[in-house]
Amino acid sequence: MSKDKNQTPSVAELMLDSQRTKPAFITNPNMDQVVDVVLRLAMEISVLRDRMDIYEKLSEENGFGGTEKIEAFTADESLQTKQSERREKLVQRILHDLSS
Amino acid sequence: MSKTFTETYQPNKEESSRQAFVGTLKKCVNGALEQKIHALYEEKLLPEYTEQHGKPPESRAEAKSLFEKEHLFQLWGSAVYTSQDLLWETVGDTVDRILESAEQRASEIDASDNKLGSLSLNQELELPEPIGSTEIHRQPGGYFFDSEKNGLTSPLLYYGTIQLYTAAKGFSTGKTKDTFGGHAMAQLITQRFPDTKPTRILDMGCGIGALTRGLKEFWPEAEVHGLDLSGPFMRCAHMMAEDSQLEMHFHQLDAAKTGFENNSFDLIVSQILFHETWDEKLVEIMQEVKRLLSPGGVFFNIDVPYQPDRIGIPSQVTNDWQVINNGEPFWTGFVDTNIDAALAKAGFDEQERFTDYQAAGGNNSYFLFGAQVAP
Ligand SMILES: C[S@@+](CC[C@H](N)C(=O)[O-])C[C@H]1O[C@@H](n2cnc3c(N)ncnc32)[C@H](O)[C@@H]1O
Repeated sequence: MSKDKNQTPSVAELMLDSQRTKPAFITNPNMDQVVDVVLRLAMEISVLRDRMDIYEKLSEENGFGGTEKIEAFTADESLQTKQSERREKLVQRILHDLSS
Repeated sequence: MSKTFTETYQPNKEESSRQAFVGTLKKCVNGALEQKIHALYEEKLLPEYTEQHGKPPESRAEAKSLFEKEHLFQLWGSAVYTSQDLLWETVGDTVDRILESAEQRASEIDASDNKLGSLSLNQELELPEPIGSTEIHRQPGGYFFDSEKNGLTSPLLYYGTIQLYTAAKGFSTGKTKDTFGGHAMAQLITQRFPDTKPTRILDMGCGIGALTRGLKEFWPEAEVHGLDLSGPFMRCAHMMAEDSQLEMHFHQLDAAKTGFENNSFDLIVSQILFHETWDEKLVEIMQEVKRLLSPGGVFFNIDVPYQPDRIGIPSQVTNDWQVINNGEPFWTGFVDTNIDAALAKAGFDEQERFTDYQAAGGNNSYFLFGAQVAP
């Protein structure tokens, strides 16, 4: 919890409270499956980060404002749909890995 | 003046991406993955049990241990639990970042001389147990966090989750949607009681007042009041009402002991209040409503439709798991309660009371109950 007693703890601090540990639900966690999932996620994140660096760099080099513009951007309906489909596919694959 | 609260609460790009991911994760875990548990029961657990015992399991208590041995069920539980933590963590990032601006807005409104509505806080209010010390939905800090200062963390977390669910397009847990607009509720009320033209409305356990604002929009002439145990929620509801230029009155009160005058409301509503309450308390609240309603007045409530005779064994078992592990401590008590009998106990006559289910598209439905007192 927060060091200063009068300071309201942030949610991030509340989440780290030692009482909030996850109980064990899975009696025999299959570590092979867990490894599959962790590696798949690490791979996807790494791909995305590499690609994003290129976009931000190109955008800056070409005077499009880089990071600031990215924060101010609003996705249109078709991009939103595309992103939500992609997310759902990723989650489905992970859950498949874990439950098969 | 500073930015309005809804202008202030804007997740940035990374926060929205994380929140969108959590929305999708919840949709898949509570949807497709949970469906797999239903299939496992029909195809394996039920036939095996029936063969051994000569009859199918009759209650969730009998069936529970069959599920608990299954990897699929354990995985589902583990994933539900983690997705709930991710929900708080990702919404918490936004809340932590914007808290100060929201506090500033609320303080400006608190101090303003030309408000439309009012806020009455009650620091001395004794929180009834067990709700006072329960982290419902495992929300970090709970509904009453930082109550001494009426700090806004808890209502912001509540608001942030509603935003997350709304943004996750097509989100559906395959169960009841948790929130319901005031307009939709008003329509249900007028369908059932066509003559309803309320002049004084009370929304009990109104949280941050989303439904309450909808009721005011639907019946702009009516004087609208909302009450809740949580001071921080009331302060946030007041801010949002003023931001929307709606004249509304919020009170930090216990629904069972409001102090309002006899016969002073002609419409009293609640949404998902009663499943967070329990036996005696439930009847006490209904008795208070009976006292507050004017002749011909309507009492109208929407809540979860998970009564055991309405849902199969697998859903009973998964709901029970949520009660034990995921901060829904009063669900089971509520769905096992005979609401018609509770209304009767509170003094509503047979011709006055109703309990009903309302289809809401897909597999969704709502549990409706209440009464119209004699003219
Ligand atoms: C699930 S929230 C629902 C909030 C709102 N009605 C909505 O639909 O978003 C339930 C609310 O009921 C409040 N509550 C529970 N017991 C109460 C009581 N005895 N008196 C007043 N409020 C109560 C809680 O503080 C919480 O804000």
